[in-house]
Order: sequence, then C-alpha cells, then structure tokens
Amino acid sequence: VTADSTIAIGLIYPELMGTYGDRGNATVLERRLAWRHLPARVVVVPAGAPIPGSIDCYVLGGAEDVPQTLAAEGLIASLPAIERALEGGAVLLANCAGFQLLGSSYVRPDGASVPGLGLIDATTVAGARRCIGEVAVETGRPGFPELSGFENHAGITRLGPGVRPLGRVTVGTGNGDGRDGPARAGVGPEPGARRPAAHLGGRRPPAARPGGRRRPPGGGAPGGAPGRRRRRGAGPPAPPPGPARLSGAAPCGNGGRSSGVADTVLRYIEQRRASRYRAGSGPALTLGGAMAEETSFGEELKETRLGHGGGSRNHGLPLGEATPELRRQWKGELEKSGKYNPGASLKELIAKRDGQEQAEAAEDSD
Amino acid sequence: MTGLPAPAGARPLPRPSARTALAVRAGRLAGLLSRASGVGAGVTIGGRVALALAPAAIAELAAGRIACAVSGTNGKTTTTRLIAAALAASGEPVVSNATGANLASGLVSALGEGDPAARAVLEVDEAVLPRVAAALDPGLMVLTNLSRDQLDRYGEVGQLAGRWRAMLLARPQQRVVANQRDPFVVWAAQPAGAVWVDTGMSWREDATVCPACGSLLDWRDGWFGSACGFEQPPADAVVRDGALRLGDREVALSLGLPGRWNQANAAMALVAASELGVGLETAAAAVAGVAEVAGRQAAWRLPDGRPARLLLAKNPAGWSEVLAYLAATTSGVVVALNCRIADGRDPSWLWDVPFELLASRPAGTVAAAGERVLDLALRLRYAGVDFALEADPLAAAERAGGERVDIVATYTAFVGLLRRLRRQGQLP
Repeated sequence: VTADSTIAIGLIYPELMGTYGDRGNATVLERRLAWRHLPARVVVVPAGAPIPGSIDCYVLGGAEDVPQTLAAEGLIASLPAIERALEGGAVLLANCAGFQLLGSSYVRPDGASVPGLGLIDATTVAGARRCIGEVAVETGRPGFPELSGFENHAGITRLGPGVRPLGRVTVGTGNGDGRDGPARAGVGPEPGARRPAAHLGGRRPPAARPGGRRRPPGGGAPGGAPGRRRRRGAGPPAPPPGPARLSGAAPCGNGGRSSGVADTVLRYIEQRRASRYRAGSGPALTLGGAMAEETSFGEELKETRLGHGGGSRNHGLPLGEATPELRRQWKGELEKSGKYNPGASLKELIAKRDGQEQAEAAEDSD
Repeated sequence: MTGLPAPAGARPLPRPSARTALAVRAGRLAGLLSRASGVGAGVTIGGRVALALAPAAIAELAAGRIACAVSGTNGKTTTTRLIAAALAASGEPVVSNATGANLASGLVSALGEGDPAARAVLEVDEAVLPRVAAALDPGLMVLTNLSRDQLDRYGEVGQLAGRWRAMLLARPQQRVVANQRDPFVVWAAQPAGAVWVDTGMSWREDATVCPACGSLLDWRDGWFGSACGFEQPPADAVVRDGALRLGDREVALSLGLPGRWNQANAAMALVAASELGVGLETAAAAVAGVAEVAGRQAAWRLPDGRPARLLLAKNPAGWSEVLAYLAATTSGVVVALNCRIADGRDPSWLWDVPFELLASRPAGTVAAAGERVLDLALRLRYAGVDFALEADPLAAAERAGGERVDIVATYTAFVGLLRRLRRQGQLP
C-alpha cells in the first residue's frame, strides 16, 4: 500500500503478459481515476523484476505459452508480497493467461504442467480447439453491468467446489467447463455474500452509508492526512481474491474496452480507497454507491461538488470518461450521417455479422 | 553468399498439364464473373476455382519459374512490387500477384494469368508460405518480419515462426534474404543460412522471449541475444539515412514512398534484386520510381481541392510506424477502423498502438471513422486526442482540417476506400 494517496495501478510483466492489448486495462483505470480527480499512476513491473506489495490494483494480462511459463515463475517468486497486498485489500484484475495462472496449475498444449499461484481453487487444461470470439457475461449481481469483451484462449478452466464464477456467459465460451449448464466466465465478486468463496477485491469495506457525511476524495490528498488506515486483522478474514477474465475491446461497435470490467474494477478500487480513508470515529468516505454507474457518478458530482472545481458538466468541462451519456452522444452524432447503424443488442449484432461472413470471406480473405 | 547470380532459365519450363490449363481457364471465368458482378477483384475467387479443379496446380504452374517468394507480417506487397520493378528494369518479363492476393488461390491466379515463360515474384501469406514452399520451390525467399497480426486468425507469433523454421529445416539449400532486426525471422531463417539485412526497424513488442529457449531476450540498441547463445547475426547489408550498404558497395536510396518502413522494404528489395542478379544501381533507380503500391500511398484530391492520400496499417507494428511518420507532418489525419475477418475480429490491439502521437495535433485535424468507429473513439479519448466522428472515412476526410489529409485505414477499410475511389474515377 502506497504511503500517499496516489492509487498505484501495477501493470505486471507487460512484455510477457501483454498479448491482447492488456496494457489498455491499466491505461483505462488510471485515466478514469484521474478524470475523477483521484490521483493514480501506472507502475510498470518489468519482466524479471520482483513484484512489489505496494500496488493497489494488480493488472495481469494475456500471454503466449512460453512467456506464460516465465511469468508464472516470477509471480510465484513474488507471491508472498502479492498475498499480503491482497489481504490488505488490494484489487487484482487478471485476464486470459493471467487468470489461468491464479489457479493451482495450467497444463500447456505440449502436456507440460505449469504450477500456478494457487490463489483460487481452479485448474486449467489446454483444450483441443481455441475459443475465439466475442463474449458477453451477465454477472447477475445488482448494480454490476453486463460485461463484454473478446476471448481468444485454448485453456479450459475448471473451478473448484465453492468457487463462484464471475457470471454466466450469454455469448461465447468463457471457462468452458460446462459442468452445470451455462458456461462460466472467471471467478468474481459476490458483493452481498458474507463470506464469499472468491472475491475480486480482497476485503470488502463496510457498506456505504447513504446518509453519512461525505468527504471529498481529495480532502486529504495530496499531502493531506488520509486518516487511519485499516490494518491487517482489523476486519473479517480476508477472502481469496478472484479475477475477472475478459480481454479485448467490446464487440460490434458498442464503444467500450471491456467497459463493464473497468466499471467493476473501479468500484473495488474505490472501495479500497474508501477503506484507506476510514477513520475510526470520523466521517467515512463512501464512494461505492457513486461509483456504481458513471451516470450516477455524474449526478453525484453535480450534487455534492466534491471540492475539486472542474471536471463535471456543471463546471462546463467535459467529464473525461466515456460515460453512457457520452456514448449516446457519439452514436447520435454518427446516426445523423445516416451511414451508421450499429443495431440493437450484442447478440443481434453478432448474428447479423456472422450472416455476412461467407460473402465477406469470399470478398477479402486476402 | 551475397551476389550469387540467379539461375535464371536454368530449368526448362514445362507446359502445364491439360487439367491445370483447364483449371486456370475455369478460374479465370469465375474471376471475370466475380468482377462483373461487383463482388470482388476476382483474383481470389478465380484462384479458388482453379485450385479446386487442380490440386497440383501450384506445383505445375510454378515449376522452375519462381524467382522469388516474399513473406512476412508487414511489407510483403510493397517489397514484392519493388523487387518486380527491379527485375523488370533489367529487361526480364516478370509476373507478380501485384494486388496482394497472397493465399494459395491468389498464387494460382497470378501464375495462370501471366506470360508462362516469365519469372514470377510472388507475395505469399505468412501462414500459407510453409504449406506451399515445396510446391513453389522459389529460387529466393525474402522474409520481412513477424509480428502480432490477426491473433484470432493466425494464432500467436511464436507458433508461426516455428512453422517457418520447420519449413527451412526441410529446405537447407533454400536461398534466403532475411531481416536481421527481427528475432523471430532470424530464428526461422538460420537453418537456411541467410543474407542478413539490417533494416533499421525497431519494433520489439512481440519478441520479448527467446524463440530458441524461452528465456528473456536481452535487447541493447537494436541488438538482441539470449542466454542459450541465440543472437542477432552480423548484417550483410545495412540501410540508414537514405543509403544502402551491401558488402563493399553502397547505393543512395531516393524513394517515392514515404516513411521509415518503406526504407526497410526498399532495403530488402534491393538486396533481393542483387541476389537475383540485378545490378544495384539499376535496381535502386527502378525502386525510386515507385510512388504507389496497390493503393498504398494512393493520392487524389478531395472535393474542396485539398490533396488526400491513403495509407494502410494493419497491426500494432504497422500503426506505430505510420503514426510516427505522421507525427512529423501537419496534415489532417483520418483513422479508419474495421474489424472484419481480414482485419482481425478482435480490436484489442488498439490499446497497443501509440495513438498518443496524434494528441498534439491542432484541434479539428483528426477524425475517427470506419465500421468500428466507436471503439476507435474510445481509444482516442484515452489517448487524449481531440477528434471528430464520422462513420464514412471520405466524409471524415472532408471534415478534417489541414492543408492535406492522410487517411490511415485497416485492411478492409483500405480496400473498400480504394474500390470506391476507383469507381468514382478519382483513382485509376
């Protein structure tokens, strides 16, 4: 945990685990926090270097087979630091190979078994065919958006008993375990559960207090007094972290890079930050509700004027984030031209596109 | 092994079998129908029909006449064109798949269409090359580079490099001109013993582990090496600042094509031409005269009279080069993104492209376009770029400011624009 209030986004081994534009996840998180006037920085941990325990949000990406083995070695060597950080409430976002490495083992296509971090009860075995295409996931959790992305993996991941999936796959393959009906994508948070078997964000901070007084997020920062931080042992037993496993930009022109995933991770980062600011008896900073949806965050900003001048619509400056509102505006602008018709739901878009596949393949497969 | 004369015409050219000849004619008919119906350029469909009718068509059409096969992730089409230009300048008849139809079907079309006595310079898709190498039996292979491209279709780069290496292990006599700056190409080409060209290119994002042993590659100022002893070989040819040195010879490069990437393409082409027996000066003069390759760098005028130009970028390595080039210009820029099969369905690579290089351009000079314009818009927003939105790249070009406008497009967006501009008579 960093001593100052700057949120450290750790981009872990980007040279090894960056096959699918994974650095974008760190960029997105850092920018969105900055646009919310929450100072954040991307800490790049190069391959071969020890992974520090001072990271607030670890970002692990996709890798090819050989680099995945190298990444596993480095991660295992740094496991004690990572575990301590997660126990202290750090967030971990793992995609693709990064996700596979969190389990107990990964069996490569050549049959070699690579030991994993054992942070979640799961095993991955390379399947016979690669799962390639758009993915959409319903988390089924109140306040969590539909997650969308692009999958490209051979690994079939089986979750141990009691490990909760991140959600239910509505488009695509996901984990491919097929054990109880719908395929599952990753393992993730269960915000309402008392003792979740798997958890995206480590320790959950106490519930938001809607009626409580709010303190500006920058009230103690930078250089201000952040208040007492929660220490190890001060809360309930830390649940194991759980990754989200989605990579790639959102399909079919709905304009997001796994936008739901970013929203979800931001909520956990916010909760972590809130927990850092929580003083024993003082007013609590509770941003969880405000972060649930960006539109509501906009409203929140307007209402409470978090003390930062600028950045919100009522200050006449654009909110930097690609909020649903902004996306609607973008779409409206495009539709005026009469040449843009992205259609309705993700499923419809994919069906329509796949229908054109034959003609398209014949047309320009070179 | 630089400067070996090419075995031109050393082998007799057999006449194609009746079955192959028939197959080519049937393919040509299908191609004509395709062109007439407006579905496509006709090249690929024609080749597919021909291949279906005569599976051995490639081997038969190719027998003894493939001067050169060019392959790699980026630069195939341009390098092929430059080599063909150099060969033609030496007075030889040359056939080539000049439109970039580089799958097995496109090769059949190219070989079946042209003068059956002419030597062929062929661009071959990097995934197709290992499958057709034996049938083509090219006198020379030119291997440009391997980087991430269409991961959803081609798989990962290391696997592709492995298939290239297996191909050359089975062809130890194959003459090769290879890019010495690319670890994957070096590893793949080593079994053949190549002429190594230092192209000056520096993309290394896709080559961080040693292709031979899997440990971390050590990179220092363009040099790479690994714990197992695998390392960059000494260069036989070097291109820098508009000049190519090959052995003790040196030639100035004055190119009609822009950017550092085209200097690298020209270097590969000149060394290949030299290997094929063309004099360096002759080849350099021929290469200098090429200003447009299959629509790349095609130039026309917008309705308001401003000059416009079309650039192709297909993957992070290619986009990095084009954006670095544009960063030094003052033109308006239209970025056009499609995610069809030939572009790669997964646009996650957008996040590895340094669009931040566009952030310092004056307001109103950048526009986002293409079928996946919203994904692009999001990326540009995170890169801090001020941009206008238009689905249609040509409308976007008219809207973008600047005294001239460059449109950078992914493959299908590029091909679509080219087709429209030709139909409208703005391009030949």
